[in-house]
Amino acid sequence: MIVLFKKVNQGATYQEKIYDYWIHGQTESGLKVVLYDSRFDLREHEGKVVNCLILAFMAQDINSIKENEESDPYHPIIKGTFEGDYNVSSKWKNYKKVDRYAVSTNDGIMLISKNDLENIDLNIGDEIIFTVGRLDLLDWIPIK
Amino acid sequence: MKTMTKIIGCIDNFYGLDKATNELKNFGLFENHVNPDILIDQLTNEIWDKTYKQLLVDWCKIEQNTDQEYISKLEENGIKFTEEEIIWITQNSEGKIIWLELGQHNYLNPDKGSGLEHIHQKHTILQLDKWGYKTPKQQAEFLLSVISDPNPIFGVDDKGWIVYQVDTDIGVKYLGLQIGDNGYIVTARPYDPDDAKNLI
Repeated sequence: MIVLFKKVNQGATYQEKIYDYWIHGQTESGLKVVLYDSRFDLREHEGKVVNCLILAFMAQDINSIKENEESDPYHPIIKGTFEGDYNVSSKWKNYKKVDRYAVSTNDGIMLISKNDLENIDLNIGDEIIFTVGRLDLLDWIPIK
Repeated sequence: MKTMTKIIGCIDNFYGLDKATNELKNFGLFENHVNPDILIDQLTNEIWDKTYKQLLVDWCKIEQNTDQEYISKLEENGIKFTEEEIIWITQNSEGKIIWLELGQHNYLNPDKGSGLEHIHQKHTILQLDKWGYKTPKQQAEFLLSVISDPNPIFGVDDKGWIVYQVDTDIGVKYLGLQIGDNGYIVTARPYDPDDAKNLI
């Protein structure tokens, strides 16, 4: 998923050590998002466009939330097509192999935990809409 | 002059006169070209912040018989802490003193902070609230129960996140914590169960 990093903010900070970051950005379709980064420090990429592998963490209100419901960039409403099991490309070097599903959105692939879809009746190709607890940044690749 | 008297009186109610004088120095009262409007704004914010913090501490505080013993140990070890903002202090199963302070949350830079206020502001909505821990008081109690649990830590990831397996009203979940070397709880967040299982 291609995201323009507008602002990369320090998150948890104590005695000058930074433990995580919040990346305020915008996708190609114009969706405003805030990505949670507990692994990297991408402050140098502020103002740049970055290819991101994102997990829709704690996906909820699956197929019950309405597209026009109030949301914010920390918990955006995600709409797409359910892709089922997904093999994450080896180009994502920092990604630790985990069995997850994927949703294909207007902005590209977003991963989703199998646990979050446990009791949801979904077939590959079905439309899916949900919101998230967080958008976790799992990996990133700079765009030259 | 009338304005200044009012400000000093107002601050005195909260800090005492000596501290009030220092606060006014900090705000540049004794320097030239101080804009009284800006000064009043800053002082009002400061007083509001301190009052709010005190209310929050009073609400969330969990006092235990061992508090003074553990606070003394922190002092003996030269560890810096803000005693009046301690929500709880305990010892984990390994004998290390761990404490939760109200901490820092900057409303002008709301992503940055530490301690209970930061955890509450950044990891409540659609996260900890879904586990049944909606208020800072509930979150403080939850964190104390996690740290006090004699069960061993589930795992530690390569970024130092200490992962605990916790029982919640909606089932088994995973909580990631960052604790400073001195025992201060910096932050806590729901941790991805798939990543947690990868730690084994």
